Amino acid sequence: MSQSDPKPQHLPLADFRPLADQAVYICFGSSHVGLRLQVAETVLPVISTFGTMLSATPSGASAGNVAAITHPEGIAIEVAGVVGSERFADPGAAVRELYHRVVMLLIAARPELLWVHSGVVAKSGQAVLLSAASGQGKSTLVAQLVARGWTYLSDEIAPIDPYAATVLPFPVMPYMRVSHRHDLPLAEVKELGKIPVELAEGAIATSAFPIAGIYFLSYAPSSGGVDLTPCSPAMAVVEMLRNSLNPHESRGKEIAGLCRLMEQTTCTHLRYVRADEAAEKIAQAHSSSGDSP
Amino acid sequence: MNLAQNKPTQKSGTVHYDVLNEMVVYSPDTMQAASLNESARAIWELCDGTRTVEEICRELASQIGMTVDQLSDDVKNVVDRLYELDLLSREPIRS
Repeated sequence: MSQSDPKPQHLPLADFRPLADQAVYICFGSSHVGLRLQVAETVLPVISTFGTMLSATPSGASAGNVAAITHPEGIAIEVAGVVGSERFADPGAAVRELYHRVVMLLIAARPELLWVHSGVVAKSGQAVLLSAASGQGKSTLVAQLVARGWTYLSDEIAPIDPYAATVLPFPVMPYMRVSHRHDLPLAEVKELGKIPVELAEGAIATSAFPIAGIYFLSYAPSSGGVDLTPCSPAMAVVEMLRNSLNPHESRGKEIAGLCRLMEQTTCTHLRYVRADEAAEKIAQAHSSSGDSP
Repeated sequence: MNLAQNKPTQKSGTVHYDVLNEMVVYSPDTMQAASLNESARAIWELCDGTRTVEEICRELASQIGMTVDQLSDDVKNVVDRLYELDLLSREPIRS
C-alpha cells in the first residue's frame, strides 16, 4: 500500500467547533444522534472522526442520544435509555466506543437500509462500493480514487437502499494507512498508523448515488499486479453478508434485499498488491468520456 | 458415513432465495449462508429426502443429457459441501 499521493492536508471539518458540554448532533439523512461531550478531551477526536456529519443543530428524527461523561475511572460513554455505561481511561478509546454507539443507533433508526462495511466513491453520478474486512485497503483505494477526482461518500460504512439500488453518503472523516512498502504482510498493514485524507472543496457527496458496481477487495502482497474476476450474484450476496453491520435478527430480510440488489449490479473480486494500480483499474473500468464527477 | 446409504434432505428451517439462475441458502440456526451456482442449485432442489445421491445423479443425468459417471464426482462434492455447511440432514433409507 505504498503511494506518494494523496497527501494529508487540511481536513474538511464542520463549520463550527463545539465546546465541552455543548449539545451537538451527528446527522445522517433524515436521522440524527445527539451527543453531549462533557469531557473536553473527547471534543477534538469527535470532530476528526465525524467531520462534516457533525452539526450544531439537529435535522430529521432523533435516533437517540450518546454522552461522554466525566467518571472517576476516566470517561463513561452512556446511551440514553440504556442502563449502565462503558468506561475508558483513554479518550481515543472512548471516542471509538462513542462512534460505535452512534452507528448502532443510526442502523436501528434506518432498518430498511443494508449497512455494509465498505468504502464508497462515485464518478459520473455512479457509485462504486469497495467492500472488505479491515486491513484490505478500503480507505487507501478510496483515497486514491478521491485524488483522481472521484466524489467521496464514505471510507467505512455503506448504507444501501437495495430496492432503489442506491447508496447514501456516510462521510465520516477518511483516514488511510501509509507505508513506503507495497508488499507488507497483512498483519503488519494492520499495525500501520493512519493519516487523514485530503478532500477537496465539494468532493463530499450530499445525496444518494445509484450503485454502478461493487468490488470485493483482497490485499494480496504475495501476488503480482491486479487481478479482476467476476463475482456471481449469489456469491456477491454471501460476500456482502460477511461485511454486514445489520443485526442477525433481520438477516432474512437483508438477504432478500441483497438478492434484489445483486440482480442489477456488477460485482467483481479485486486482488491487488499496489493500491495505485488497483485504483487505476477501477478508474478505467468506470471511465466515461465527457462526464464530470 | 456412506452417502450412498442416505437420502440428503434440506435441513428444516433453511430458507432459500433466488438470484437470477443462482440461489442463496440460509440457515437461521447456524447463521450460515451459502451461494449455489446453477448446477449446485439443481442438486439442492433434488435433495428432498426422497433420493439417494446415486438417484440424484441419475435424475440430473437424465435432465441434462449426461451420463451418471460424468456427473457423479461433482454431485458428491456438492452434497458433501452442503453437509459441511450444515444445510442438509441425512434421511436414512427405509426399506
